[in-house]
Amino acid sequence: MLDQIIRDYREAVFDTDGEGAVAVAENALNNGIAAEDIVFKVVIPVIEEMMAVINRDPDANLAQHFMTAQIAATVTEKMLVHFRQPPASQGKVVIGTSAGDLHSLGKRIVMGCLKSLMIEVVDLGVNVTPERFVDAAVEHDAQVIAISSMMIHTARGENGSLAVRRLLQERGLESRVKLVVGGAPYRFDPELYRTVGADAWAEDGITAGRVIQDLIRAVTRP
Amino acid sequence: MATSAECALTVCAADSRFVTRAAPGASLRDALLQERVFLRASCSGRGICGGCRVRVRSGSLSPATNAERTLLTAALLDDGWRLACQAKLVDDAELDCTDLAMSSGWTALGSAELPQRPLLKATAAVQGPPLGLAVDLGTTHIRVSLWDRRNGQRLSALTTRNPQSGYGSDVLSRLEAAAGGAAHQLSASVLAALGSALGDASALAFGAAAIDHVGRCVIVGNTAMLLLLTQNPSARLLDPVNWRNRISCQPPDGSEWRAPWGLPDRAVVEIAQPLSGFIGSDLLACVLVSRLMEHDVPALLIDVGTNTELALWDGNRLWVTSSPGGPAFEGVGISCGMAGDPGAVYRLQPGESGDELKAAVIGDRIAVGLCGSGLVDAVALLRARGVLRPSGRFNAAPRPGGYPLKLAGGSELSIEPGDIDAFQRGKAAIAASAQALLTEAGMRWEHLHKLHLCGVFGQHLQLDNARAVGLIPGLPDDRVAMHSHAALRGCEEALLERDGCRLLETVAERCRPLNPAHIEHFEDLFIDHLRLQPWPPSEVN
Repeated sequence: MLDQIIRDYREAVFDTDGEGAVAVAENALNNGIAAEDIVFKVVIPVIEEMMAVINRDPDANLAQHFMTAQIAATVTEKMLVHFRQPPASQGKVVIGTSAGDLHSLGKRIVMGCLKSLMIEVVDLGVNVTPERFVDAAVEHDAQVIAISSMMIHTARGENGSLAVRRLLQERGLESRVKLVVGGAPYRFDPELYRTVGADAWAEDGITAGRVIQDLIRAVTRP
Repeated sequence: MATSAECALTVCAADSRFVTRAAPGASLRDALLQERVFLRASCSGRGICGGCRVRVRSGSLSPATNAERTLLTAALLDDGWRLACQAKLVDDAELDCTDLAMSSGWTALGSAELPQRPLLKATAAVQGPPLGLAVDLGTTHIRVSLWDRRNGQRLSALTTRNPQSGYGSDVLSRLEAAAGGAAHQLSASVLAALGSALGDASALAFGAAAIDHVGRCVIVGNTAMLLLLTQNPSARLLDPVNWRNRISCQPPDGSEWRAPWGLPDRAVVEIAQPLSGFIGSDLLACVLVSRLMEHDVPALLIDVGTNTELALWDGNRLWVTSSPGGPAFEGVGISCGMAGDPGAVYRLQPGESGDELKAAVIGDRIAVGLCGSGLVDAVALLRARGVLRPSGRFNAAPRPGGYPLKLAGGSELSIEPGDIDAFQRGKAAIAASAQALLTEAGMRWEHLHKLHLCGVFGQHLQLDNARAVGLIPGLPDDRVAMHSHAALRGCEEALLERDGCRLLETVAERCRPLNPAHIEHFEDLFIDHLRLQPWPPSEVN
């Protein structure tokens, strides 16, 4: 039965049919499948598979990437309500776009992937100052700060990742809080993340999910 | 029959004509050159590039050369097309130069798409030299028209690619290039292009002397283009603090622009001021032409371009925003894409047999690529045939090089998965912005009495296809109006009114700008509109 659900769900996701995907998940729930199983055995494997397909494709279709991440987030959110106990958090991330940058689509995709991976996300929105990033990480006890920058000057500039790194140093938080960056400028120059003082970068939503998972583990390990 | 030693060559442009004389045996190119009409030719008139083709309406010329038989099809030759460098005058002749390609890259704007006269009457008392130039400074294209302000007659209209395209196809990359030290070159390239447009437009109209009679020039454009032109510190636009504010873009005083353009000292150059960091005076010009605000019924205007701008009229206020959808509909970034130049497929329809398609091509030439409306048709037809799925994925992966679009007559274009992706993101950005404006104004798309489409599609969009792929909401044909070259025409109205830019100001005063970055749930709307399907019915609260 689970195999059939996976097949149906995969077909709906492959066709970016959000309503169809939700219907498959809700049907499964009505047929007695646990919400936990739907998320961990259907939603997460299928989104990873889809992203692998999209990433292999030389003509990677961004539109399909966006829609796929959105479907995963929507279905996960609907299933979480039915969990027998609140899901064990895999960690916490504060996320936002850098100061001066109002491009929020990339952040949006990353958030969708993180939510479907059971990572808690504190969304600080757009145009976030370095101080707010660091203050929020401390306040929410987050392991990772994620900064999205779509423009070269906001990625390299003095009010972005560089300043967050400086604050983490000054406040002695570097072992507790990791810094990850993403956005178009980092794709043009894969070494740029080092220049701006980040611990890691990610090329797309699903990679961001994995990279952030790894950073969280690095922090929580004794 | 001419009895004099010289032949009379009559040149008919969009809305004007002039006569020049040349000795028998002179090539058409030489005859035009003496009138400073510079035809596009990359081979300096050696019959190699085919760039100088012109259409002969009547008259007597030397027989077609081998070069012409090679570069022009038999059908084109039969239709009167010749290469100006090859065809020599034997007797009087008349040329049709409405589709003329100028050396500067400026080409004539089709007169069919431009109404002969503006909606406004020209003012009786024209101050200063009588001619005027209207300029629509777009991110991808520049359009200009030359007017006799005394009788309100358009003398010629031209278009070219914005030469700044070499610094990046979108607004953001140009602003970054300017901030990175190229500000002067960016401004100079457009100033030089406008200078040659003035030369070409006036040469087409009257011969070389006319430029001395240009007394007024009005420029509309999006804010970034106007900032780059006037060399305002364009970094200001990269700072969101300035997005909501009005930004002044003034031309320099004195002769800094007039002298290189060859304008007389008394000529006035005016820049219609943008509304805010993300709404330019081009949108205000479109609103003017559509008469959007003259009725008290809800209507939406979309000016489709690289930087699409939208205005929603609720009968009282004008809600405006912009949408950075990218240049897909201008043919940029699309493997088979091109601007609306001769050779562009502007309409596709199912063919007689099998998977063949009937193509309508600008200039009745061999199909070279798809312009915006052709791209909409291609996606809609592939979707209707089940070749494309609603996700934008091909049912079966196309061969390397793309999915073939077989055109009746034997030619073939192809479309790649990446083109579909760019199309989806372009149309979703427009649809999401439109939906966001409606939500902000508390309206549903079903309530719209009129949808005004301006910009790249001209008159050519097949509305059923645009609705099927979700580019526009599902309003019936009689509630959709298409305006070609609306920004240029609004600029023309401002040019012909003595206090013209004031007209645009009155539009600006009613505007409520909505910052695209502050639209709640914009990403949700964007992702919802990525699928190739019609707009869903509005949810009723």
